Amino acid sequence: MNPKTTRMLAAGAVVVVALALLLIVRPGDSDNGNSDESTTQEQATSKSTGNTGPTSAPQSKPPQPEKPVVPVYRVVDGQPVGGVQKLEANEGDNIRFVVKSDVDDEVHVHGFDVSEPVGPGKPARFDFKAGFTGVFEIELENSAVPIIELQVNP
Amino acid sequence: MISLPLAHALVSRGDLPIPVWLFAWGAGVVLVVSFFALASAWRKPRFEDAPGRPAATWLSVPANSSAVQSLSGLIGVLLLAIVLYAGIEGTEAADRNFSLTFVFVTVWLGFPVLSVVFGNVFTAFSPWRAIGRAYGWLAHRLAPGTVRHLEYPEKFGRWPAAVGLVAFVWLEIIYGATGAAVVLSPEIVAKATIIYSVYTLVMMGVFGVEKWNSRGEFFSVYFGMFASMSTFRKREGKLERRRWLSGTTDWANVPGSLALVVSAIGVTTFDGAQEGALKTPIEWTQERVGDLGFAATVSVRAGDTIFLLITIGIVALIYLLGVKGMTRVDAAPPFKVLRSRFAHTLIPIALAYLVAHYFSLFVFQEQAQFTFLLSDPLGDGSNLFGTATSGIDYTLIGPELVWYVQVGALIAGHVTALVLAHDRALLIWPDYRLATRSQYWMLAVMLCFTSLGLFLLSFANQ
Repeated sequence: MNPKTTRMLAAGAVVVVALALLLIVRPGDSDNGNSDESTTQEQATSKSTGNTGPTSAPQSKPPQPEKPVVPVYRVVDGQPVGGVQKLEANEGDNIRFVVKSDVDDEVHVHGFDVSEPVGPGKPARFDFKAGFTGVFEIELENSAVPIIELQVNP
Repeated sequence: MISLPLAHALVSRGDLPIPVWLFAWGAGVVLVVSFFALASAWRKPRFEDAPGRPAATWLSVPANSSAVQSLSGLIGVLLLAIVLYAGIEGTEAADRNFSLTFVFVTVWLGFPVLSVVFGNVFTAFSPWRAIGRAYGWLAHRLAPGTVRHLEYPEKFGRWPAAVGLVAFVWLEIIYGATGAAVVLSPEIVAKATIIYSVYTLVMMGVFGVEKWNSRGEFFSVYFGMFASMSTFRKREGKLERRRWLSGTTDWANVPGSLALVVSAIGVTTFDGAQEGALKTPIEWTQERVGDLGFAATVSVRAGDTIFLLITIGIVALIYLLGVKGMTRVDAAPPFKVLRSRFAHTLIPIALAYLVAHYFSLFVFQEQAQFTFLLSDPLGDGSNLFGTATSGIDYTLIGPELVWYVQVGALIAGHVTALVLAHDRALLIWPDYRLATRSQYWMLAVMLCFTSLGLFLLSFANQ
């Protein structure tokens, strides 16, 4: 074989190996479709039900569209129960959720810049339109503790 | 359970992961491009020792003039003063205070892009260099011959700048983002700026203004790294033009340059990975540190710091393994020589990572910089220019554009890095066949970085 052929062969081999590697390390399928959405959310919920898990329920594909279940997130001792929860929606959706907290604070949705006061006995209720895409932090404004990660898909 | 906020104290919106189809296309293009890079390579170096020629008069006259130098230096000093004033007197809300967005977004992300196009413009605006030069001028006027400097130990090279870079990013994304009710406050940034300014001015006094500016002052050194890609350079006070990218070829001759470019890639990688790929191991480490009895803030910072260092280490390891491989090619120079001879090929990768990770942040945050942060820098309700009520329009660029820019940047960086590496190999191995053989290794290195970049962009935040 002349050097040129060897070179081409070696280059081809590198390409094949790299392609194989890329396919192996490709990130999980959790981000490639809407159909997985409810499962992801269920997993997130079941993972976090160690103690008094949040009663978050799938929101985007409820069995009865006219009566969707509004997810409820709990904050105990100033920390989100089960860690930061994930909430997914599509652009243009109305995002609805409730935050219950045993401490007084203000729930702030970054990016969309909506805030509601929260405290013992007065849950914060949100209902706003997801006008643009991205990943947004929802936090307790005064203590700067993140409680929910909102992902708005196109 | 420790909870973490999103990467920056400033960030209100994070990017969506790139979709699988785009990931596949990006990876495919990278592979095809790499294949052509190997198969159809040129046989004589094209970027090494490219001669410079004087730049056009309308550019060189202002660039060479001392009035422009003094004016831009003055602007730099003024902006430094505003950062300090807003940081100390302004609101503690990170996203409503001028100083944070200005330092971490406008300057830190803006100057690399400016530098690639126009050369090392930061040098002209550096407030520390301006103060140092003014002081030197004054001292020379009042008491000629009294200003003496110590010889800068050349073996330290750019190491102080590499350490400064890591410390800066540590302050931004680790010290600032600790979850447990601590966010990077403008006041802390102002204090850190004062400490850094004193340190820089002392070092300039000890080693000389220009010496420290080109070795230890990390803003200038870091931006200067990107400026080496530019067609413009200043030599002996004169503005020159040369072939694009050719300035990178002698950039890494100074010790510590490899450390700097590896750190630059490492810190960006860490920032991209901490929310996705590294989130679980980082949290695990933080909990283990917490188990040792440390406070939540301490354990969060410790866990993050450990992984920041690990990430920089992995970036270094990928590169050094490639260099090690190259030493196996016939007539190869020793490892220690090769190690620094290919360091400059990582500059395009560092730039690509920067663009891929911060493009949308920059576009959105600059809207804040030039609207409400400009008119109301302290966040106290003032409205200096009538733009205080405008905000960030998050619909300005859609997710598709962000994805294309991200993947495009990675591909462009990959190609540029391969071009520079091939060129350098031709200089080291006059036999082009040996040179090409050595480049299988650099191709593997660049493939690692590019696929790592794609992987980080496509990793769904859990």
